[in-house]
Amino acid sequence: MAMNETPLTEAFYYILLALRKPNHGYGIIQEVEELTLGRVQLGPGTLYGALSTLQKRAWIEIYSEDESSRKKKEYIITPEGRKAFEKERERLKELVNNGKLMEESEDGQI
Amino acid sequence: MVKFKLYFDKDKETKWLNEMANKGWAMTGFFAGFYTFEPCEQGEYTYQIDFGNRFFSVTDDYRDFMADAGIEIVQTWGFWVILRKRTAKGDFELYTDVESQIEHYRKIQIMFKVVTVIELICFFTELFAAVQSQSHIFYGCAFFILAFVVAFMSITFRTGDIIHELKERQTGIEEPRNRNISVFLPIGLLCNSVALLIQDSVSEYIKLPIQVIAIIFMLIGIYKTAQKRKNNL
Repeated sequence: MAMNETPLTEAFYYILLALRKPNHGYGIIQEVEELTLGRVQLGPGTLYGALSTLQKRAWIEIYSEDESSRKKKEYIITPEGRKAFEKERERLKELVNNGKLMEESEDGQI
Repeated sequence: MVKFKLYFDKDKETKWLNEMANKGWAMTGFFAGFYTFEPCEQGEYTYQIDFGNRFFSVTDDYRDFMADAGIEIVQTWGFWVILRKRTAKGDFELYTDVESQIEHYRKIQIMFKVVTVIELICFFTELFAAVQSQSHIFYGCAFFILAFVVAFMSITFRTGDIIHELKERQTGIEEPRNRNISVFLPIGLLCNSVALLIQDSVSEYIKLPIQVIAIIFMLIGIYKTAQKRKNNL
């Protein structure tokens, strides 16, 4: 698998977004569900796999791991991850902007 | 309650475990085909089966992660992890997008391929021992292993079919399955090589049926393969 593979999948895009601030596994699932009004529901298998892939790519890192109090493990996006996210956002912007062309009528008038 | 079942297909196994839970039987343990059940409220749990990265265990990280989402690890077996979640706590689906589903089934397929090859090696070793020693026990073992070889071979093919279907859904393009060989062909060839290997050491009564089966399988295999190729054109 290529390291900078674009486009990002929807799951990866939303996970990165949810990690703009420190967040833990279940928190990510909930935030993504809220943001998409229930449309994107991340399964725990999908999220677990995505988190380890993102860590391998160094797009996210562990923010806190308090072993004594059994506090939940939190993750946060890295500058590298932000770069990947912004790259994808640019691509999506282009898609949406170009999509406006569809509003033109057949003779080129809006 | 203890039930004995051999599943090679994790999707069928999941379905069965959930059916049992709906009837009021929660699976609590597994050992070599024996499932232990305890009474529960009807539909109290939803079961799912994951494919982990560790043999007969999971990482603490995985366990904590699942516990955080309200999921309990019931049993690990080989690379398989049987999980459950209280139905009252919401839907339980492990893989929710096509990309991660493909990844999941790919890992499963690699494992099945490796197991098939190992079983094949075991089978030929066993058969060789049988021919050498003329022991009925070795012959029995050899054919017992052969049954597993066939089962693992077909589940490997089936997993390939699932991956293909998922890929079609991912791209939205329907493509003919690029597997052009019928399952019967390798099985027939396998039977044939068995017949050749044992021909000098066993009586006609054993050899003949194996050869007949081998020929029938190979013929069906050739016929089906030819049909598939025709359909793909």
